[in-house]
Amino acid sequence: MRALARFLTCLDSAILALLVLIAGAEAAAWALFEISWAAASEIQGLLMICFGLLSAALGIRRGHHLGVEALTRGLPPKLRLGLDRFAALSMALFGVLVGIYGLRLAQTVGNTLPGTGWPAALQYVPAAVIGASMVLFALERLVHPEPGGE
Amino acid sequence: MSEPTLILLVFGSFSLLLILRVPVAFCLGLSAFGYCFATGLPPLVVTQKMSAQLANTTLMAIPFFILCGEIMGAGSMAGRLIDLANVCVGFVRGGLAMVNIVASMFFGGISGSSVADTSSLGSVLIPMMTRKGYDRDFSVAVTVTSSTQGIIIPPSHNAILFSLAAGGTVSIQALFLAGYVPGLLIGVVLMGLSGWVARRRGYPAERLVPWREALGIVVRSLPAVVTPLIIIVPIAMGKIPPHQAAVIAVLWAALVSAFDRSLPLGRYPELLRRTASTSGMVLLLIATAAAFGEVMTYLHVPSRLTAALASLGVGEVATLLLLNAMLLVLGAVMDMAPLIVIVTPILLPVATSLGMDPVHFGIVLLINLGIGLCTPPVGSTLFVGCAVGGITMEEAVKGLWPFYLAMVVVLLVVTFVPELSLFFPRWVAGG
Repeated sequence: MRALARFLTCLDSAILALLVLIAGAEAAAWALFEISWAAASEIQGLLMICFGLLSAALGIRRGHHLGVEALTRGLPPKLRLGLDRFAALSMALFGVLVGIYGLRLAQTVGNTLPGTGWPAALQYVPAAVIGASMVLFALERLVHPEPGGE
Repeated sequence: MSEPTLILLVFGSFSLLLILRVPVAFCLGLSAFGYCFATGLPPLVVTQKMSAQLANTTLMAIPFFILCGEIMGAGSMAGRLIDLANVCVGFVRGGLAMVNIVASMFFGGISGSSVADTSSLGSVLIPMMTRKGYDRDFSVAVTVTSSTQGIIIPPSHNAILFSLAAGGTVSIQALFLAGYVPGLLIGVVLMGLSGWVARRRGYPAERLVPWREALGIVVRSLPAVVTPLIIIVPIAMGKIPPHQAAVIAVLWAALVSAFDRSLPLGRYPELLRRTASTSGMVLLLIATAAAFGEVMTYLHVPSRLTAALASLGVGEVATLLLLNAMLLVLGAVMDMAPLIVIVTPILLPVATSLGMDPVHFGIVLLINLGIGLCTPPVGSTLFVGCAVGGITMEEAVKGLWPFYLAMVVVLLVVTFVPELSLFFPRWVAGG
């Protein structure tokens, strides 16, 4: 699991770097030559879906997602551990739902994106794939409730 | 199932999951899925809405602003802003407190994150202040409250979050311009209060920097000072969208850091990782809140709330006070980003029904939630300030309460004098 997290972290950082490069190139092309590239926003959109979902999945492993802990701070440690396990299960369920319906959308959407001409189904593939990694990381938190690192 | 039953089901499941320590983004997503299962609406809608929201290019501005702040904090730019602030206000009594506030004005104006501001500036200034004889609780209080300026003073990624949560109906350009006067007002009020406390407690003034040395500092800090302008000016002129302005700021910060050799290339992977980590939490929230917002629209929640408030018959002033009180309480128990995405679609229609400008409401909301970041039990900026200052939350609150009062006074002034927020965007639009 650590190796998977490390790989996904590198991938996530690479996507962010790529987003910076594409958006930078797009801004420079517009500022210097007034050239706009229609496909750029579609590629950026696809990368943002990957980046957002991947970062969210890694956030499950790292325990970065914000919750309201003030209400349960005074509870006995065993009860809090139980609640943490329940939260991990809920996150796994969310990953399952996102994954299943992402896959269904990817299978059913048939048109193409206007700028790139790529299949529109590509927009939902990240949800299907990353939904699965959300489930894996959430199940890891179920077994080891302490947040993990890379 | 009737509509009121469905509302009860959606909000009940959301609240229950929240109480049971499930992170907010997942509570929103699961409640939206729950609504679909209860009503027979295809659950594909939730995933579709999430993907569509994430593909919104404006959203890219958020990780870019966070990355820009990370680069500035890790390189030399944050330190230079502190030096500049020292030249400007360090020589008055309680000079380091003033430096802290002015540096937050500069730095927070770029990163737009009070937590980043507190951790990067606080780790330099709090130890410096305590060495010079300032009480720790006061040092932490000044650092924590002044960092909220970053949320209001543009460019603020929270303003972008608000605009997105409002369904893109509120102009980011207008929100950015509207943040200047209230943000500066917070700074001025905090400086006045710090000066008063400094005189009472006998805190020292820093030396007056000789003009030749001051000139050198001003020149060296120029690349950092112009960074917000790189972002604001093109957006205000409508030349480029926010995400392109933000990426230019990232490239500029990287260029300056490379030029003065303050940030080796080897540190970038860590900065990218940290940015991705912070962004992930916010992006998932925005995605699931979009799905949850759709559900609230199906259930007519905003219009029902507006009607309920109108039926109270308490008048505009009392309703605005009620809204502020509600937001302050919510801000004390929940973090800023989740609250922006949850309450904006519900309360914005209420505010506009009272005749409030959406831009004005955005600024009021941001100030409310900014105060919440400094308030226990859930004040992420307060936690960071306490950790950096090495004091407990109880000790910090002792020093914080006069600052809370000052911030609440500013909040009320901004709430009831809309021109403070609206004058600048209207003037620019008119010009």
